[in-house]
Amino acid sequence: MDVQRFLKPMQEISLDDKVGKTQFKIDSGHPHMKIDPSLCVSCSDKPCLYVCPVRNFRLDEAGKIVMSWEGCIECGGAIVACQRLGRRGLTWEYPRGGFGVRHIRG
Amino acid sequence: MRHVLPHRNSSFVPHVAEENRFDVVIVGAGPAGAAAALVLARAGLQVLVFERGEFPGSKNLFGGILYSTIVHRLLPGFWESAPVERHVTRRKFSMLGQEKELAFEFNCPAFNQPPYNHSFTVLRSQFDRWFAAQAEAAGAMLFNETVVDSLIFREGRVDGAIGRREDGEVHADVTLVAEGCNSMLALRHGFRKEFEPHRLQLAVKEMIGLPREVIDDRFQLVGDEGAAIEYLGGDAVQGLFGGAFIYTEKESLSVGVSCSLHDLAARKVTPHEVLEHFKKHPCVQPLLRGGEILEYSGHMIPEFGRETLPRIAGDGVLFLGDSAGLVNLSPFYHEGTNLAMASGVLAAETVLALKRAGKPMTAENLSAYTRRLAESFVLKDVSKYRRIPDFGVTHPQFFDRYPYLLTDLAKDFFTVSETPKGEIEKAIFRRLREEVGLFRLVRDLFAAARALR
Repeated sequence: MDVQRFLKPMQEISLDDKVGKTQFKIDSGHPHMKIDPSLCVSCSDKPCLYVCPVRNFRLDEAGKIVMSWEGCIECGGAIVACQRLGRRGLTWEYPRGGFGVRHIRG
Repeated sequence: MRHVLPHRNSSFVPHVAEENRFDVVIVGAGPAGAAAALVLARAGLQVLVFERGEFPGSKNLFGGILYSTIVHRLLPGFWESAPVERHVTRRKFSMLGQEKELAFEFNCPAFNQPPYNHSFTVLRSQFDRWFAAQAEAAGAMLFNETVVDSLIFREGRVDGAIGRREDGEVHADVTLVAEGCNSMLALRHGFRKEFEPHRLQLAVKEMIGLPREVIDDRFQLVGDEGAAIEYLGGDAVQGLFGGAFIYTEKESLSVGVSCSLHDLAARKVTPHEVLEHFKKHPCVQPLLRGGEILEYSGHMIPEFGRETLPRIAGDGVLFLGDSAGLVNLSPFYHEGTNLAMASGVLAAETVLALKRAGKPMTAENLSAYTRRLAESFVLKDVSKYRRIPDFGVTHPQFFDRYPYLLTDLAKDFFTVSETPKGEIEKAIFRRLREEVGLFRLVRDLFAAARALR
């Protein structure tokens, strides 16, 4: 065993690369969540920007919420944050059976 | 693929032509649902389990230890055949300040023999799959890849569940909901209110791969011994209400953080940033050297306390495990999977007792489940630690201030100088008085003791 390899700090990778290590079965054309931009634009705190572990909610250059759903790990954090701390612009349901995040370790 | 469900006449409910009817329908094949299915199937009942994942465990995740008294009771000596990783012999409780760590450790090689102190690290995707397979082997029918969006109501009582699939409408005398923390069914049908963000912990973790020998050596483990390190508040989570953890598996580490959903939003910090901050801490970083990320994911943990527990028994329906908010919030135990399994067993025993007595599955009769939970360690422990989420809100200093201060004081104590020791001790007490105040400190310690009483 090359001992030196295990004495070096862990290599840092981006969040997107990290999410790329997790397996998903993408249900193309069937997003399991959607946002209502008219509600999101009036949301001052935008808690979804902070609670999502994979940062599926980001701001575009105009300051509007852009949502992606493919890398969703289905934790449910964003929906609770939106309902209780936001403007309820997000609707969410479980992905179709067998689709979505697929833990091989967990 | 199309499954045709067998038709069956139940002796307890009048037969209705052309409908799929089982004795029990279970939503979710995690630890709670699978434990219930195993007990019910062994007793000869017709049991159908819906699982939304490709296979049981594929949606599941924990940062943790499987406390295995219930598994051992159901499947004695399960560790011989089950996919377990290591048994935990070394536990450490730690507080991180800035470039400092103050910890206490309990190391017990005496646990190094069956039943291994009933504490194992496992990979949930593998263990839960195995556990559900035991229920299947006992005769339970498992339908994977099926989301349940609603329960069936007939004359005001729950009469089964509707799986999102062909022939997915399945009737049953009693429905057990074990669909995890988010429990959309409990919300949809009014069994729980919307969550309060300070009563939810959002946990994220990385699975970090390392050779077995490196893990053994780095964490001082022999054979299949395992280590569990839990970090309370402080710099582990940037002062948020929560903690961090490192658990050892055979050839990987589970490294993660868990923070109140409320605090993440209020402090405008993402779980991923908190995790990266933790991993870079100088007292943590050396433990992860040379590791490679294998998987990254997250999960929510219900921290309802007892007052806000959802209604867990209704006409024809019971709620189990995380769906019932059955989590032990103590910073020293962090129990969930075992409470889930225990609730599954108690729900199954309640149903069996009513079946044998020929009694209907009314809310009143099924409330025996709540009584069984209350008489067992499950609700006793949930109840004992029910004050913790509120304590986290009223006493943030235990997370954002005291861990930093305590580690600072420890540094003052251990910093080498030619100052006489008596003067060092006096200076430490002076600092404690100035920064907190003795009255405040005593009051806070009493409050903490009360929250854990």
